Amino acid sequence: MRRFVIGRGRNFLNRSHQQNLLSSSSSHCQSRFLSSTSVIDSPSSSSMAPTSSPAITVDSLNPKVLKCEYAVRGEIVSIAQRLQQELQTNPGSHSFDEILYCNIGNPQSLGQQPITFFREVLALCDHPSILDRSETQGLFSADSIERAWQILDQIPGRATGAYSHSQGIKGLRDTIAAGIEARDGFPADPNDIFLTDGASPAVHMMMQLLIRSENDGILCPIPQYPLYSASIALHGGTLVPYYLDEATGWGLETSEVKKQLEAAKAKGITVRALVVINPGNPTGQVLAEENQRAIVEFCKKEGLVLLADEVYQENVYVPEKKFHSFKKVSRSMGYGEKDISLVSFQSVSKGYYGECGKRGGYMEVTGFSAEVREQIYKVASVNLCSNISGQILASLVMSPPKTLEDAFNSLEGITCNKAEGAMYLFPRIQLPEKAIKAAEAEKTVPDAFYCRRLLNATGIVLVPGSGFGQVPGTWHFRCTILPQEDKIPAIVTRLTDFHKNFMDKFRN
Amino acid sequence: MAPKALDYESMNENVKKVQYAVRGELYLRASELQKEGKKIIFTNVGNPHALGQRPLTFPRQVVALCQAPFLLDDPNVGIVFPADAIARAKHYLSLTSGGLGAYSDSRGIPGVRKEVAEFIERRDGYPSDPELIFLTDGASKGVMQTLNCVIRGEGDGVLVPVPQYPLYSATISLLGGSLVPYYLEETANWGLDINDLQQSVAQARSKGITVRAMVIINPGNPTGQCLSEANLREILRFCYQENLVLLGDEVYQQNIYQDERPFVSSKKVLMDMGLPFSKEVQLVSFHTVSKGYWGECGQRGGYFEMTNIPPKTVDEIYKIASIALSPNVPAQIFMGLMVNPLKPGDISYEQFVRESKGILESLRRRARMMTDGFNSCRNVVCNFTEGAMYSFPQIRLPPKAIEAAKRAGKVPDVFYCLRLLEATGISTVPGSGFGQKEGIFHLRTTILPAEEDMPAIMESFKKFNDEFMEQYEDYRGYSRM
Repeated sequence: MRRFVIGRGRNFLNRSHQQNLLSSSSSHCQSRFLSSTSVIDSPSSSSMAPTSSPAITVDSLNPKVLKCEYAVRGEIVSIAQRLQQELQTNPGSHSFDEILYCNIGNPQSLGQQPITFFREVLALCDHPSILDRSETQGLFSADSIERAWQILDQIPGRATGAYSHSQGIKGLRDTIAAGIEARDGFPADPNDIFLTDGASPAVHMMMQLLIRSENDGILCPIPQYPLYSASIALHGGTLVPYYLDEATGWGLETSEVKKQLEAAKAKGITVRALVVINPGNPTGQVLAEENQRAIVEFCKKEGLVLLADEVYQENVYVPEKKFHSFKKVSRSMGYGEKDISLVSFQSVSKGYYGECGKRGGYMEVTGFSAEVREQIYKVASVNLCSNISGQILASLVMSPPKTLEDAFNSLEGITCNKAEGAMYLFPRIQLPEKAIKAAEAEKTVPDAFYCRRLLNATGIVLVPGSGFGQVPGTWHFRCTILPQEDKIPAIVTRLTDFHKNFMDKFRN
Repeated sequence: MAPKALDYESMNENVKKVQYAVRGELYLRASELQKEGKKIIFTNVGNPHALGQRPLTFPRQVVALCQAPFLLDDPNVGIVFPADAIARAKHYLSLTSGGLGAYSDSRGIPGVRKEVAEFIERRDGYPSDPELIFLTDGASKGVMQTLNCVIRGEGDGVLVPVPQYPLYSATISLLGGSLVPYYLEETANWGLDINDLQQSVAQARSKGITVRAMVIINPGNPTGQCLSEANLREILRFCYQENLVLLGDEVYQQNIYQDERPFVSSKKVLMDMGLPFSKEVQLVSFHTVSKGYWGECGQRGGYFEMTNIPPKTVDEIYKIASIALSPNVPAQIFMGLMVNPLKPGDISYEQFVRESKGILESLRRRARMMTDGFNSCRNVVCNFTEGAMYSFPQIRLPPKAIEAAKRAGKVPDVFYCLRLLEATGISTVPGSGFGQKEGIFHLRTTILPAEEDMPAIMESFKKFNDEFMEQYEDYRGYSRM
């Protein structure tokens, strides 16, 4: 067998040698695969010296690399680092004692504490073998252990060190999709979600798909977060600026965007997408819903992909403004997959979680053809997958432990007024006929029937509404908001499971 | 409504050209079958933990503590975590600028880069500068960043071994460059021939391509061969003469299954060669936490070390790294732990050595089992897996099988691998995904399935293969021709 293959190999080599355009010495006819002390002269260089300066110098680098800039970690920061070293080695050498880094959205480097529950879950997922030990329950809260088990059960073999599906672990994408749905009130498909090492790689992926040449333009807000300008430069495209209006709180006027779009077209640029950063970076404005509707309408009409950078969705500081995702706005306008191409970016780096160093994030991709989605998947697969810990964190961020009030309102047949004062929640429950009949059969008031079954199943003690009086035919129960914060997630989980089973059993 | 801005026709052509068979057609088909309930053995990617290899205990303890530093204040922490893990966690936390949740320096935590430099120095016997070491989210990102600097357009060529790990071909396609193949010789243990390199360069230049860089994968993927020092010297000399930057993919340096050719780094050989080479040849070396005996693929941790790259170029590479802000911090700690292992006397040392040795020795046995198993099959010839994590047997497909493949509209090795998948559940990657000589077919499988499952897997393969060959050959009976 081997002789046959060697023969074929030799024939191949002999043929290719004959095809060799360069003259070479006769010793080339014999293959040399093992070591040799002599050096074969290459026709292109007759001496040992290299033909020119090193292959890679600044002059011969990819010009797109040279062109792109990123000021967030640019020159000023390098000087700052130098000054910091000087302060360390030579205290008093400057008129200030310390360098205060206000250049970058990096909360935990400035003392913001991570969310304990998240870190507990991540630690358990990093070292799952301790879940088998009883001592672990003394170190970690019950709900973090529960959540860790839930997550690990979604990971094949509980192997958090294995490459996952290139879009991210399916179970985690399910959780994120459910979180998006809970946030927006419109369904989300886990297959539309691509988990990435932070939101930035997802932005790069889209730029890579969209930009064919410098004739392709991307509309970007000015001022913008310079990831966009850098990414467009790296991919060889053209940034088409649209100016936010400082005088009106950095407002975004579609008339301005339209003007810039037309100007770009006149220069022969095909404008492919519109980037909107909401809440804004660096400008901090939160868009009004009607503004967002105008933007959606604009993108639909002009055939632009809407790239919605929504990484600051949990950072809204004024009561008169609320974050609305572009997905929600589009769907509430009646626009679906066929109407608007939308990519929404989210990250674990911002919000109240501020987990920059974890590099967790995702993009939700809607309104593209199957062929395009295949290509997105293909590009994602070359990098195999994003880091698993970041994936887990993204799922936690999108499905955080709920407050009791949120939990009640999310249960089938239960509504709960907001607790404006005192210490109680008094949710109303629509008990199904079957349950009311079962209660009567046991000679129990229906809301007491529910509370008793809840107690026996979960250990949670509530007070039936009939103890307080209620409009006849309505049922309630009273729940305090007093349990310790770290016990609340476990209460929510158990209550939710119980209620689901109860309704499955007694639903009409 | 205006036509959609992004549809298949209007997409960046370079994206369409990209192929990455490791998670391509075979994998997608295997995933479909798995959803339908078929038992699939995924051997398409070097993903040890997915096939039952357990993570090393000590690094997981340290990183868990770093994730939840409040545990360190708990008086009971010592019941669940050993003292050396606790100490190491404190050490790494002190190197960060705010724990695991803060962006680090865009090149990676300085203290960890220092540990990497010390590791390189211990390994090679030459000093290493932490300022020239960049940590990345996996070695792949480092490769992409480097090639992005090198490739200006389709006029720029990169020498890539055939067969190769298709990250290289995919990235070159994505960046719009030209892949200049040089063929490894299967009959000479996948050796490298300087003649062939020469010819490849000449042919490329005659087409107007400027050959800028050369990739070597040592130990090889998918081929597993370990390069000798002499071979490395030839390659470095070649790069010197031809003015090429050498990309040394050394991610499998811990996976060595023979003793004749231990791993020696390109950097060491370059430094050994002395002047002028040691000061002139440009080299970028890559490593990872994904392979070796660590197998921590899911962490996405890697680094590259630059040698003889001019300062202004290093600055540009730093600039690009800074756009991504920082590599993920937990993986940086895994990297620190990997390059700065436990020492004799440490509480967890014995366990660490036991776990590591266990994995490496088993891999060595599995490399042998698979090679022998393939060689016992009809029309299959397999070079020994000297290193890395793969077996790359050559499948001598009979002409009738090749015709059947054509009729089915499939490349012959894809056809074979699909049939193998349907019959046995073994999900491999066809050799065409890596490149091979015209008319010669292979498949790549990993040596990672659990040792106790190996005999059954090889038997299952042999049964399928021998029946396949019987079906498509003109005569019955055992033959290795």
